[in-house]
Amino acid sequence: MSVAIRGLHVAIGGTSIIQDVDMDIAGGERVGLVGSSGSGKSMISRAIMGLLPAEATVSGSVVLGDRQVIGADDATVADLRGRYVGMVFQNPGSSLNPVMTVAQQIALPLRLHYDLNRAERLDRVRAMLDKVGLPGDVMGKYPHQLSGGQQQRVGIATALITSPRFIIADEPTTALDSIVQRQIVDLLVSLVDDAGASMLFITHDFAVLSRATTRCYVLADGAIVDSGATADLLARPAVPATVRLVSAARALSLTAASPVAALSTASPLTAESSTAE
Amino acid sequence: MTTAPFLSVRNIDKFFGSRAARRQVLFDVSADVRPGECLAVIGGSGSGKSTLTRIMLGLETADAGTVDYAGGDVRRESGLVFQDPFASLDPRWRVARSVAEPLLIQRRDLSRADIDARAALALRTVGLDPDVFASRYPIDLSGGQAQRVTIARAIVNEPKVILADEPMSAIDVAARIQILDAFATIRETHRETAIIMVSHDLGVVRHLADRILVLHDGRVEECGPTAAVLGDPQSAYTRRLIAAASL
Amino acid sequence: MMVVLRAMWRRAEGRFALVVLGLWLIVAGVSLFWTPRPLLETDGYHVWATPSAAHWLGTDGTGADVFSWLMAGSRTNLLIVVLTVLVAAVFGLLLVAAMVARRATVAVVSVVIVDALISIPTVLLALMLAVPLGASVVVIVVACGFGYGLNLARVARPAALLAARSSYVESALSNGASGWWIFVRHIVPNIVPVLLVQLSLSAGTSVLAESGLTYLGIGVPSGVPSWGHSLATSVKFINVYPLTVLWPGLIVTVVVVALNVFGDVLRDAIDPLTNPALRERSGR
Repeated sequence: MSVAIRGLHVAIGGTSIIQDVDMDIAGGERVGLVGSSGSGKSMISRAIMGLLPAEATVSGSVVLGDRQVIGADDATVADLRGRYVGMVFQNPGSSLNPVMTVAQQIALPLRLHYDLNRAERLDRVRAMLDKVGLPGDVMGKYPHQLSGGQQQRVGIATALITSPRFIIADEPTTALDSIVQRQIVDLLVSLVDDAGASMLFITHDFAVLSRATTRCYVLADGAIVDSGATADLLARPAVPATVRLVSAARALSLTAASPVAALSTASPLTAESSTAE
Repeated sequence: MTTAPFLSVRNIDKFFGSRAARRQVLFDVSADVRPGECLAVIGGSGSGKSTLTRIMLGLETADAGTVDYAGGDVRRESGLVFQDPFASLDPRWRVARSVAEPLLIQRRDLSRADIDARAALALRTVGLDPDVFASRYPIDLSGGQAQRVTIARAIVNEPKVILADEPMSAIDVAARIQILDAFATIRETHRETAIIMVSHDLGVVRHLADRILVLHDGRVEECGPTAAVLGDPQSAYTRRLIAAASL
Repeated sequence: MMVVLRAMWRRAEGRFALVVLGLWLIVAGVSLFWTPRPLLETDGYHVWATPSAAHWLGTDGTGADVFSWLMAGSRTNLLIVVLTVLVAAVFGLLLVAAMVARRATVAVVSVVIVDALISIPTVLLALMLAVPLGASVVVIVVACGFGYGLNLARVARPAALLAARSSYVESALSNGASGWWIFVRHIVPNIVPVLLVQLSLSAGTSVLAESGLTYLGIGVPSGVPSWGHSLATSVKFINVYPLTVLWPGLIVTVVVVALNVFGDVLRDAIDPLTNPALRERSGR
């Protein structure tokens, strides 16, 4: 499903959070949204989901497929969300309900939005578990009995069980260790591609972005400051915000040619005195 | 690297859980720390790396094995840096007071002015201007700034060893560089202070660590100089870690 | 101080609470030197009188001036509120300290004791205290302070535990901080918001309790002016002379609401996390 955002503004209590954001995600495309914390990444994903806080003032347009989200009534947006959009959250430990078993958790979107009997639901859950690489015996387990990586696999299964046409992954790997991080990104990419869905991948880490997306937008202080093919931005960053993010990711990787240079250009050893980082 | 270790643990076993459901998290682990060196303890979640380092600093007790520290109470002579900087700063204390707390507790002999000066120096060491940050509350700091405040608190009383447990995993990638910078500066200014850095990511420690100890499921996979571990990894698990840290 | 007051004044309910409580303090102070009529003056020709120039709020069944008695009563009630809050705060904080103690046995035992004691009704405790003490302010203060202290401890315990188990406390402990240091400098400041709300509720409830216990004859002794005393002496005639009940009832209601609001507003104004003006000032 394609997503088109035009002139999106979000303000809360008179403070502008998002300014004039334009974004396009074509059907079947994996697009990244990268920025440091406080840049407004999550606010954009909430605007797309129609989940902005009540006191927020919004203007502009967010079109999912052929339907406008901004200004639509709650029932329309909820239906859109449930059937066509899937969401993978940052912290699987807290986004899973601790008193629901894995099977109940994954089946919940089916119960809410589809008219299936119990056996049909369980069949789908079993097939989904197989896709995300979890053994069938986790169905009766509770979230606390799973490792962080397994929890996030359950989160992905829950997001994908209704075969959504558009996936929002909001920092899905930030809470995981590096090996698991790579496995989860690879899993998400292969599932999204197999389904032919499109994906918006939100992160602060260019290293993750390069594996997850083909194209990306760079967000700084609520505005899009750069965009292009992920590989190009990574190879030849030009805009200051992009340079900062890319050199940080490079310095923290094992293959940087000159880590010391990257370290010193990204952040000179001078006392910080500005309010903003 | 010829100096003798001042902190060693030998043949550490550690169990978690009740008698009925006992689970072993460390198996016969040994490690040394020498003055002024940076030892990185690397492993995935559940590898026992936090438990091992907490045992080394006397924050937890081992079920078997020995902990030898050349000095008094290792806890008094250490500084702690945790994963979540906001959880490790009292939200109702100003930065200057949080940084000065180890001195306020241990150095009753110092004057107020002396304590303030030392706290300001520690803030400057981690790249924060005391004139700007000393009077702030944690709520008005970014994650990177807050984590550097906890690092300033860890060094303010000139400890023998700093334990940094995943100091960068809760921080934005862009701000992680500042944390790395802060530790790099400390290695310059505090040449006798050893740093034990716990991480799941080889990429974040390779600029800092002199030696790397790789832990997997409670067992030592390998331990050696950084260049050797990264250049010629001996275990399959280390090779997977290296692959995961590559861009 | 001024920053806190200004933040409270900025909110409408804050202004209401400050004005009511300020008036209370002034009236209590003035009543020490002056009341419109002497307290013991009774006017046998004008019992149950309606408000007039001579008796602003009328007279009661003995012909005494209602306004003067309410003025004088305000200082008894002020004394009771202040003492009750003090007792509840000290007792409650001691219990909190025990409940978050690092010695597991102390913590577990104190939680059980609090849970057991909290089931004793305040009125029952007051009745038992009244056996040796008779009707007395001490009965109200001790019974209420005890009950409210237990409540305070139970409500504040989660916030206190959160602070006690935090990384900043672990860091301080590893530096050799004492239990006293941790409690006074880390735990108490972090439960102040809960404390203020709970204590202001207690203050309001103690005004109500004074009325109730005095009506039962085990609160303020007869002859001593208090709002509860004014209510108790007139409430039997509420059908005949409703006005004499209305005045003390009105005062008690307004004061209780003001006390409850006061705690809420003070919490927001005094906490650096919710009042940015406190954070902007430099210095420690």
